[in-house]
Amino acid sequence: MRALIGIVATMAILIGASMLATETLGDRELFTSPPDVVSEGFIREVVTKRYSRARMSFSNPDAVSDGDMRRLAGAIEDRVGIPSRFEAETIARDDRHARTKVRLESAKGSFELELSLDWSKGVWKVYGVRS
Amino acid sequence: MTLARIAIRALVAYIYLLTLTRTSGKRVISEATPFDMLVSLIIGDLIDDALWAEVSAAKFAAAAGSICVIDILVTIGSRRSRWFHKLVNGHARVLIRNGVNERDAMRSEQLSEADVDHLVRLKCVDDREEIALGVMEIDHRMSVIRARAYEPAQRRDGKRVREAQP
Repeated sequence: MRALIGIVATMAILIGASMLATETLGDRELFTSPPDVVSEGFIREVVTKRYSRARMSFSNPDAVSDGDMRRLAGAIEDRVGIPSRFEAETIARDDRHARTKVRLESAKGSFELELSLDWSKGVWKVYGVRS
Repeated sequence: MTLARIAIRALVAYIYLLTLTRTSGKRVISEATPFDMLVSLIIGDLIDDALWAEVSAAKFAAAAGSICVIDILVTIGSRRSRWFHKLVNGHARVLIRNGVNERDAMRSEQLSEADVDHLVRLKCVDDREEIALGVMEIDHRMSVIRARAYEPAQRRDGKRVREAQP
């Protein structure tokens, strides 16, 4: 029983420290997924056609449809086929908003997408994609 | 993602897992059951996501901590109920009885004759006749109880021999 209490306490400490860092100390990249990682993850989901999971990267998943995701995947496929390399970087960021650039590369060429993200409920969420 | 951030995440994850492992009183790897190995694999996969910041520290803490809580509950359950222990860890099987292979047990453990020979050799036994009982334990190691006639000679055996002499 002591082990159980110890584990729950350890869990609570890290979750608490994480919340303190993001909510009070304004951490946006260390204890949470930084915007570039969120953007890259989102694009990977789109490219691998996991549209429902891709939509979960949006702050309001119901505002976008699987059709929107399919169109984005189609646009990427038209430009580079199936990308073999993904590279994301944060262009600009403040406490509430971030802009990132995701570069997709394949033998066919390369393609860049610019994503806008919002800080929402303790995580970065995508709200716009521009090619 | 800067190198410093990766290093800090690695440090946090390391301290967290070390604390969880010490708190849960985990045994050494050589005593791990197949279920312990499964838990290690799951946590190993989780730490990968945490290092590359694919999940937040809070999500990593919740996931790894929950796995450890479940593991502790299973351990407590196994300690309290023999039935539950068997369900989770399986049970030891007799592979060799009085020098003869137990075919059904070998089939259940998915062991061939060659595998059993290998396990017997690891116990420094060259003839199965010497084995009274060969048991596959739950940690997939074989334990061997030699037939009385093949046990190493003891001091009392010498005494018995002297007594038997006319």
